[in-house]
Amino acid sequence: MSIAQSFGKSARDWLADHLEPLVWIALVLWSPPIIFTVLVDLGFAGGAGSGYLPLRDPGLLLAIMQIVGMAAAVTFLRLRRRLLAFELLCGSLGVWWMHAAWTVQGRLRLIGRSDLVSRETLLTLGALMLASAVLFMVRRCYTRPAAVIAHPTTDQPRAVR
Amino acid sequence: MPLFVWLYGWQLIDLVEWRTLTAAPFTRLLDPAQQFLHASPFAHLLGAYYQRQGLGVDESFLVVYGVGLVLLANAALRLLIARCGANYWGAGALIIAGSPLLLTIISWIGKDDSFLLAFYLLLLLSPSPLTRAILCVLMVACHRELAVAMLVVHMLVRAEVAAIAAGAAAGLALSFFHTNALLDAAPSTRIDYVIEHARGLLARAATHPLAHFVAALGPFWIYVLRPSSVTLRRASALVIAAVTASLTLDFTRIFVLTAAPLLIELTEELVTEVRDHGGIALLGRRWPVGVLGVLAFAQLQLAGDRLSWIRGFSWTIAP
Repeated sequence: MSIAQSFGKSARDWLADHLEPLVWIALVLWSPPIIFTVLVDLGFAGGAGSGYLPLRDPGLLLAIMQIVGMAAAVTFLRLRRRLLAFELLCGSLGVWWMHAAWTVQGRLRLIGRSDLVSRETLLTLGALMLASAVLFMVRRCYTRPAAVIAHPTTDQPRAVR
Repeated sequence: MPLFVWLYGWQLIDLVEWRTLTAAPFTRLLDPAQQFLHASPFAHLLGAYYQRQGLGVDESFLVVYGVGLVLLANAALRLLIARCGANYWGAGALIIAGSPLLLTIISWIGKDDSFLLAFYLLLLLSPSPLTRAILCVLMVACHRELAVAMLVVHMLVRAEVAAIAAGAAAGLALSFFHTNALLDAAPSTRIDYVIEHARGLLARAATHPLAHFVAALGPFWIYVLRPSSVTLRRASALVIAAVTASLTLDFTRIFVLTAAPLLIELTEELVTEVRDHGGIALLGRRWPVGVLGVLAFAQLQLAGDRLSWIRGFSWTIAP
């Protein structure tokens, strides 16, 4: 095994082992602003300014779908339902791509093509590609059934003790 | 724990600094005496992020320190179960509750202590050297000087160096980059403060050595000072904690956090004793851990008139 392959395997194993904490970090960063926006919309919290998305905005609905999917995924990871958790994470990633597309088209209409190279757009694109790469790298660890470890046996009848 | 929190209450701190640092985390706006807070940017950067995403100042404070406390509770529970076993984690919790750690966490909400301690506990849980190094970096981001002191004590007590030293070095490099390159001007540091006030701080620390000694670990001293617990490494760890506390004149928070690696190691040892012998040997007899758990409520060093049941009680260390 070459050094590059060995490094790649180590990176993949590390990411697979730490997928749950990584999802938790993303949830902690993304959930409070979404929850706060919903609370402002419902009148339970006073906003710190203006510009909160209304509840019917597709961008907010997609963001809610994304964090609900991620929260379900970490729950299923805890319950050892790894395949289902991985599928939910892939679904959340898909929703994130849709959210980014929705946001970019809105900004393109408002700001113009110069927004395509704005810091926000490039950061979003970079984060999306990174998250996609992580899920692609660890896919085998989550989609393959766990190896069955069994004691080697012979076909002799079991001894009576 | 709810009884403890009800009894001692909680205290928020640095609310004005929070407002300033989260509004402009890369601008040096604080008084020179407070600028050392730039060397502990973790919570402030997190708060600045939340405020940029639409949360108010108070809401972001609540979310950041709420997350810190939940993370700490989760890490502590996981560590207790992993190190003490599913049947004895309660014994571990009762033993460590004899130290002022819990009191420290609820008395300085607004400092990064909950994150600092949570990252340290996660470090103890993690088998991966890379993860341990990353957690060291995060600890340094929470409190540069205190994290380094804690990690030195950890290396002394547990005799493991490589990943910890690498992580601490990376953390210090990043911290230096933050304070000297990202900020608009380099802030005064805790070291500057200590150099300027060292003589006065040491003189004040020497005024009431016994009170400081008692306040440092509270009832937990009875475990630390058992003849079977004292080793050269542990004594060195306590000296480091005492020097760090003397230079800050904080013999509760700074001492207990610096000595936290020692307290946790000692707790593991005591739980093993409870498991093997049914109790802890103290003063010539073996005590059940349930009885010793009452010591958790003997944290008088900070309580003063905050104790709900003795209004007017006051213990002033300074004359």
